[in-house]
Amino acid sequence: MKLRYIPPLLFLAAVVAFGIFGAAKRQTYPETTAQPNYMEDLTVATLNQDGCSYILQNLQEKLPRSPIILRVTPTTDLIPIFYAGKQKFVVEEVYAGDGLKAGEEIWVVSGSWCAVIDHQYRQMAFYFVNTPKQGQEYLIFLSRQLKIVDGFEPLPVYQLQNGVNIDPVFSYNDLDTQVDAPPSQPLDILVPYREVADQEFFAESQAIMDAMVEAKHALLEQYPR
Amino acid sequence: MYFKATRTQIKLLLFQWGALLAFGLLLALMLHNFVENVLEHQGTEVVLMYHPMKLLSLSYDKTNYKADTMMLLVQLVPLLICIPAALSLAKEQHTGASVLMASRLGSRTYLFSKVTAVFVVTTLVFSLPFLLEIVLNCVSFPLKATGDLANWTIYDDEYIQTTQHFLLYPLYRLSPYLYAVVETLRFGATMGLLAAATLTLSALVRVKFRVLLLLPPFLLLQLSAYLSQSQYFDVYWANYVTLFHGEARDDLVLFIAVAALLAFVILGTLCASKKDWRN
Repeated sequence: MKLRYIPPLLFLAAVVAFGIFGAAKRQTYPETTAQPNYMEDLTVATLNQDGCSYILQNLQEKLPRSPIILRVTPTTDLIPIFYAGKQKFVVEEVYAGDGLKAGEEIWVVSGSWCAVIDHQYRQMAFYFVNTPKQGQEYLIFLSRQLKIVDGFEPLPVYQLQNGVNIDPVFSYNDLDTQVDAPPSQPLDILVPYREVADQEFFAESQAIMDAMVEAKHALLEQYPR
Repeated sequence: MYFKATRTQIKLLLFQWGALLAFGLLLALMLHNFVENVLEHQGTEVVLMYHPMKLLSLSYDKTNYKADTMMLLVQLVPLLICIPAALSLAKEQHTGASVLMASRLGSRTYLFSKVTAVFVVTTLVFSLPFLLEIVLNCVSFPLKATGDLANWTIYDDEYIQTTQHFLLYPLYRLSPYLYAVVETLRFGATMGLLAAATLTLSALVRVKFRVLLLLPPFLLLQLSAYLSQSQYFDVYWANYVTLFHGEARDDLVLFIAVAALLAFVILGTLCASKKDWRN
């Protein structure tokens, strides 16, 4: 073999060796969110009294001023993406917003729908409202349509309204509103999602849950179906 | 005759010490970046993992996280441009081989084949290590990962504006992997063009010491860095050849520079081919 081929062969050997090293390390990347019912193993934050008071003020003042207000039904489960989450909905009725009509399918994206999973946290970053469930109708408040710059998305993508300290997605039906906590002993700041999976709001006490449900009803009355 | 001469010269230049040294240095830099990425990000949840192409050595996006590889690259590349092949004509002029080649091939065929060979070899030396990194990253990182190293999400205005400002953004939108391959080749081709321009300069102006030929591309790139310190004039070369660069840029500058270099190479080679090669 000619000597001049030795350096290129050494380079190739180095690349192959590092490639094998990298391929071995590829097995270390967990894909928790691809598992069914992955949320059961994660925690969610519960709403305390101070947070509830702040939200109740904002609910009636700020949300009705949202540019886009819709009645929607989810057609997929929540899909986690990079520090956000997205879910597909079909529009049932448009209360505010141009360019949308009933029957149209849209994606909704929110930073609070993200899964934070690392060595320190195993948490869904929900703002105290459970993820929309398929088969239920929801009143949803959106801020704007997003321009998608990665790839091509055939459906329009909207961003969930933020700045109100709560995910503004409210079920027209009352889901589980029972908080399993003794009256004088509120739930922890973080609770396993499996304990609150059927609840509508993540509240640390029954009183807070009742206040949130009452505020929701008052809001839904403005947008009847 | 031209193609045969070009092919022969490419084969000769590829295994010269200069090409192997430059390739080895760039490969070492790339492998260092690759290992750093693997060790840094192993065990990360796939949904929170960064896009494999944004971890590349040539990725400007990576400077949001760690800029050491890019810093090394922008200092090393101006020095390495001429090492693979651009000094070959000066060497042949010194040994007298250029006279023999010019008389056998004709000076025009000789010079154009030499310029083409230098362009091809330098392009290969500067793009192949980073093309290999693309393959390594595809093998080593989850392809489902989509994250940006600035930790921007798809609804952040900065992310939207920055991404739309990529050079060849439509290609990125079609496929980030294809974008990475094409941009890496473009990086290599830009260095190849600078090497070809240096070779043309050496054909026009006889230099006594070959090492002086390292200066023109080095000074040109340093000048672009110096001019960019002025707020009115951003022509910093690295902004135009790195991947995923979405900050303010004037792409017309790039096209003018490439056109000017290309014109210099072609016209300069034509001019030099009319010279008497016996002197």
